[in-house]
Amino acid sequence: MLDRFKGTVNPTGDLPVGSVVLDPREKLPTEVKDFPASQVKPPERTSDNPEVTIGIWTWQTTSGIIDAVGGPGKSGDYSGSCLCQAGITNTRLIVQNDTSEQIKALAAGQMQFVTTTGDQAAVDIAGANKLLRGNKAKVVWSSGYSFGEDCLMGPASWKEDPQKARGALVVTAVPYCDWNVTVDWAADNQIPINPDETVYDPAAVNFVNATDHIEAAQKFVKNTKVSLKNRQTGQQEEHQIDAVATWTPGDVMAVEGRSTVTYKNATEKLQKIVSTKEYSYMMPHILFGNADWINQHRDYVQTLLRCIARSNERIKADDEYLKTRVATLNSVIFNLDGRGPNFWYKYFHGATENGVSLGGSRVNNIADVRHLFGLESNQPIERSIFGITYLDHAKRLQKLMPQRLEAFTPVAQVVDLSFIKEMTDERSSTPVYQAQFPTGTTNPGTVVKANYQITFDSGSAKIKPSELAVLQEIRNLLIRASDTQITIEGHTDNTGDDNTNLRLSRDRAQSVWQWLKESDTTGININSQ
Amino acid sequence: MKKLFQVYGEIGFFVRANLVVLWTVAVFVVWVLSPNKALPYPQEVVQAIYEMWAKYRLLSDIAVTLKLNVVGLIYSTVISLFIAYLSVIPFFEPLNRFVQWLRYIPIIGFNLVFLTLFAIGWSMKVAMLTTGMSFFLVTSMTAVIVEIPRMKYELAKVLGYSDWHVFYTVVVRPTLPRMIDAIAQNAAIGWVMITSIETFNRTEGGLGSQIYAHSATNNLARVYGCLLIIGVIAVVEDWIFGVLKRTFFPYSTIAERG
Repeated sequence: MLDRFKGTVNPTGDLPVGSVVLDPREKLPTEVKDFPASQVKPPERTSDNPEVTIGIWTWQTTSGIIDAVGGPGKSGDYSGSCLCQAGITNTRLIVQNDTSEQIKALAAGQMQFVTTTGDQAAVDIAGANKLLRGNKAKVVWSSGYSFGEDCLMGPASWKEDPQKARGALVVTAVPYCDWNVTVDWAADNQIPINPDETVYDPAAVNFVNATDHIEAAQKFVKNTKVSLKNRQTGQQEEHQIDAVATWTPGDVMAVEGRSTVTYKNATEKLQKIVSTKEYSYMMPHILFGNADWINQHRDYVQTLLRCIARSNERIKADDEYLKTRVATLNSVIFNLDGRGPNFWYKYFHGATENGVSLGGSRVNNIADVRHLFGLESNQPIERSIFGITYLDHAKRLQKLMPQRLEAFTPVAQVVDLSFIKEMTDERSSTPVYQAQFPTGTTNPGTVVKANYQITFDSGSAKIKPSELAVLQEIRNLLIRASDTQITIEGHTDNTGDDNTNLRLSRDRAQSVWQWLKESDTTGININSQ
Repeated sequence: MKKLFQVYGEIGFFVRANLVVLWTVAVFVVWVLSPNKALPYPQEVVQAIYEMWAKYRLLSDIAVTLKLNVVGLIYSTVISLFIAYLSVIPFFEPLNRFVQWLRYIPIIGFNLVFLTLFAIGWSMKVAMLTTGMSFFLVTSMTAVIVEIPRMKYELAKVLGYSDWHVFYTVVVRPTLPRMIDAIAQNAAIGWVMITSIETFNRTEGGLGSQIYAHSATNNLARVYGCLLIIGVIAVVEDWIFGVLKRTFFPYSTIAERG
């Protein structure tokens, strides 16, 4: 299969640096079959058929976009594809994992849609708006979520005691999505973060840069030493790389190449410490474009998004379709040596190998998309999942690395949800993803081990206004890290009798729980057990 | 006026200086009027340089990169001179040819080798730059040596010079001035490599590291600011090489003028 499609690097010289486009030398053998029983109707034909290039990553959340186009050439080459059947024949895909390069192509008019993630969107949209000279970058869609594949991998003991990561050196692409996973985890565990790559801080989590997830895995596997100045002693020291933050196939490369880590004189198994399986709503795929172009081609955009929604609906509902067609398409489009359809199918769902979970993606149907942007709860976009991941990560990056994000566009100005709102006739046959916790058990391992102090007036269980900031922090953590469970404990002082105090401590825990539940406008999973 | 457009037209210092100003203004006008709005304007670039200077340790980054450039240049010069001059000895010629061929391979292609041998940081940066520059410097230096007329060698032998005496008199001494030109060219190649080398090794910062960081967030005003600084340093380096050549090999510049 792979042999039939040989990639050519930028054959006409009109593509962003490093991008790859594939030749459609033959039709794909897996044709689109009749859509099974579903409530997603095919889009109507459109006569708006511009030349369009969509930038994607080597990321399976974009499976629906790939399926809608139908192959590595132009959509018109694949008569069975949704876009071709809807009259759109000039749309093609380019795999370019560096969104900054996609943005340059967007500004130059060579690309019409750009891929990023919700947590990374603020920095990318700020960059795009600089080049577009105005708040023109508009988010129109989300094709899925990273669901386990973006991760921090390190010594297994960190899973039980995150504090052991103090003084560790993590290799990753700074300051992008996998860096965000690590920084979220460290910050939520109240571990200091050293954002300065030029010094080593023994009390903090430290970073060494890689230009992408593959280079991060390579630097980790080679067990390279890193020369850094110790912040405490001022001495130049050599440190080994202790952990890697990467995504598929970087996680597979890491575990295949270096299955044990010697950390602070103890040799331990390499383990996935935290990932987007636990932070299951922090990393949605985000598709954005130039508002000027979008408004000139509204019919096209509407048709494109309906096709993607239809593909994603089918991928979610029909595993055989994923296995026989979509995984094959992904292997052709991603074009990574030795990574065929079986690889992409296996790691779409995620697999546990040698005790380490690897991969994991989700795709969005229309219900998921509406849920992500908060269209069902009628709340301002700032309170949606997208708003929370956008704002939380923008503020954190601004605090840690102000030179990388001096100003960001308000979240309400970066979305154009009109296309999603117009899809009122679309219904999804599968429900919005919701974390399931078996009764009486807890999630394996520790994600966050931190104490948040919420104080009450003596004898009272009423939430004080002064405590709202910390409660909001916990709520946002629970929304981003939907697949985690927390324990709320209430305490009292020693005054009064034990029964009253016991009741008061329960009431206080209940107040906190009630506040969290009522303030969650996303309806994710703040449920009690 | 007519002389301005004549082949080898003779113009005075004043006219030449005005031409420099004229071309500089022309470049700025094209820059400002460019329809590509994605390009930062000159005032944005100047502002970006000021911001990097005032807030983000630009001076330190310049010093880090300049030090790397100079050290890499010294190491690669010594190594390349050695390999280039040895090319006249048949036993070492294949080695020389192999090193020349390696210039076709991007230095980043050897990443995994460097990761195995060096710690990320100063040592790896110097090793990568020295290696990368040497591939080119050996090539240009060998080209200078190849041009030496064989007759000079024969003449020296007839005069009864020993092998090493011939080597020094015929091969080394007459080619040294042109080696300065080759090194000056190579310094420019080094600047091209520095961006990717400092991106791969960001632990000390540096201009290359900054170009990568600002390009990744599409802060192109800062990218162009860094490039402008590199341009200024390159002009100064060219001037220094010119001074060195005039100081140590004054006869060569007289010959060129002649």
